[in-house]
Amino acid sequence: MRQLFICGSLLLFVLAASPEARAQSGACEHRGATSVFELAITSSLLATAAVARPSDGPAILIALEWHRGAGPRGARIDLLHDDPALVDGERVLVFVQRRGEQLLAPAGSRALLRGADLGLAPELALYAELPRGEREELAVALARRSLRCASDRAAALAQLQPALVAEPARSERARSFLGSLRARRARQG
Amino acid sequence: MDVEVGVTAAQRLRRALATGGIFALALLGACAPDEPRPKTTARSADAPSAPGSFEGVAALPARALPAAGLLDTTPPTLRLVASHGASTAPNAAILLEADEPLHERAHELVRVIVRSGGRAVPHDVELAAERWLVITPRGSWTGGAAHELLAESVLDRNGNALARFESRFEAGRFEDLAAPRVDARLLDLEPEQAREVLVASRGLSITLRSDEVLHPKLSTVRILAPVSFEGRRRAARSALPPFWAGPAEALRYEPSSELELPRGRVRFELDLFDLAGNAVARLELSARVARLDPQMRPFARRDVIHVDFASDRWPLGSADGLSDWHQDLLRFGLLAEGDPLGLSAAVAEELAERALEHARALLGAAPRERLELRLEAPPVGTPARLCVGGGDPSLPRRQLRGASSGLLGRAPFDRRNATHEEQSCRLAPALGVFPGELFHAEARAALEARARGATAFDQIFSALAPELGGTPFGAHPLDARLVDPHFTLASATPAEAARAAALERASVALTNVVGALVAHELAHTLGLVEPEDPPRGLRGSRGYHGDESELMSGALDFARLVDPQLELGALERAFLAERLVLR
Repeated sequence: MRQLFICGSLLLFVLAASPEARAQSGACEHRGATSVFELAITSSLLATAAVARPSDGPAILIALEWHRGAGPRGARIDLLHDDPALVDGERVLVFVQRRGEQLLAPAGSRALLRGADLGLAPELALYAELPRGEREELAVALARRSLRCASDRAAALAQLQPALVAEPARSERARSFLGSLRARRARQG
Repeated sequence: MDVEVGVTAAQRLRRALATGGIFALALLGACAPDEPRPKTTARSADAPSAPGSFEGVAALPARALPAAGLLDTTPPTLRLVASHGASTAPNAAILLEADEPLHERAHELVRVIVRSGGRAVPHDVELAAERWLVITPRGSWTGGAAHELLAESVLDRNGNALARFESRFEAGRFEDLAAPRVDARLLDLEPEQAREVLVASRGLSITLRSDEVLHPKLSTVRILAPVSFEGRRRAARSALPPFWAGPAEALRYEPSSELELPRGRVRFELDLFDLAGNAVARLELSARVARLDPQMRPFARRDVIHVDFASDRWPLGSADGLSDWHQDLLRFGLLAEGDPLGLSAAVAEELAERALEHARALLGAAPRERLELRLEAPPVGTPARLCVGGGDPSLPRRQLRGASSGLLGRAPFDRRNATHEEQSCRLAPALGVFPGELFHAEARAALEARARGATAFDQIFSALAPELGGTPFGAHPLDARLVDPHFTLASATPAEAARAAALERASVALTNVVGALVAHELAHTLGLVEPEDPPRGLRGSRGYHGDESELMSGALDFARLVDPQLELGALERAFLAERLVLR
């Protein structure tokens, strides 16, 4: 595999926020048991993402990097694929690696870092590039983080809406065999 | 990619093929076990490598992505569980079981009212294992009376509140003073199986079968050995989280992946109680624990398998431009010649998807993120491939009443799932899944048996399969209406409803059968069933097949293949879940 280059990096979200970091940020303090947003996500930037776009194939690497000392190792990583995950369709590879390790990808693809262009939180746009199914799951994973910080839950949800409604969940497929065929016909007009 | 030393591909194939197939009719009996090939592979799947290498990115300790959506904005749902359906003994607690973890203070924040005859019945509320609110009467429920239960403000872990939950239960007149009878099993294995195998240091579980609902708050499991939990060493018998998983009627002890058992013999002490607090005599289980070496994990690497329903290789040497799967559907009567509805591609795809869905479910014990079954080849990379469709391609075309090979499928056995690129589409010997062979044999048997009655196969497919006198889907005058987007069963005529039911039944039967065959053959390529004696293998000297009542049986007939309850055995599930260590 050839050496790849990192085309950009994006400050994303906190995967493992230490109490110290939260204290420094002053954002999203713990509200106690009755608050929906009880877990804090700091605005401090303890994680970065980089997208590598080599030229030897249609793939994307999103590498999330975090400070190992910033919190419990692996905290909240389980909300993402916590090991190299190969995903259908766009051939998106989500890797998680420790700070300082090389960010590498097997193939190139279109740019992902366009969250600001879409008026979305950058992390949502990032995952809006994922195939459906995976997209919903990862988008909501990130949405959840956003919600934890949101002072206005409704606004946060509205912001998420484009990413969440873009593709219907696969599980919505009718279970009846004939019903599925009717649905296919209906979609074909 | 694995590198194999000292064994040629031809040798490997010849050895592995010996027992990889299913012989539905046991006609050939040619499943003689062969010597499994020695493990000579070396993998470096998770090992960090030099910069510049794709494999160089280190993975975190794996935890599966939760199956459900991760944005939790919905409140929990509850159901009431009493010791006997909706009835309970007057001295027994009742449970409110949530479908998701509850808030750690849910029992304090909830408001529960229990009334009987218009009077409140005093009680206490506790939280058990994050999933259950345990409601225990102070004294007893009103004997022989109905009770109404109201729970308000039940918070899930993320603070979403279920505003109101109402239910009812009956309290019997007699107190429950008898201890339940409980069968506890490690990894759901038979006791003799559990004694022989080595279990992995992470992921062990204990399943409980009880004639009464067990009390998730009182019941405990103690590990009589020092363990590591969340990175810290804990002494033997340490207090650990309860680790109970539901449903309450089939309680399971499922420690998180953060719990690591020590190597060697580990004993578990189970103190179990029913909802009335009656204790079971202390149970003890023991397991031989070993570390599952990352290189020996069956799914140390991701397994991508292309289940190819588009292959065209049957009968041998006469590819005709029509996929074998399509030809199967013509024979089973789920497609009609000439495609009168213009839906043949959609039908073939829909049924293939459903069959694959069934296969996925049957192999569901494997790590979800590590095993991918797909209908199309991925855009890059070389996946494993299994061809599905047609009859046994090694046989010449036959007439309906000719002999059947009895071979429904065949795939190479891959010890420990060391190889991830098996190509199960060869012709000599024939590899793949052959639904056409099943049709051939079952249709012949159905016709021969008609004087005495209809076989199960005949009952399902006689309305559709032309060779059985049926009218295939698309050729019947009613079929066009059944697939009209505006059609609903509510407005169907009796004839339409009957035709629709026949089609639905046949589609389920076919996809169950093909899904089971696909799962069986793929399981061979994933390392099942390792034939040697435990702990090196799973089943001793029974060849590459498993118990006769299970999916990995070497002889499966239509009645069992179509049965949705057919599943892998506990040993096979534990292997796929990477809960066993094979040496």
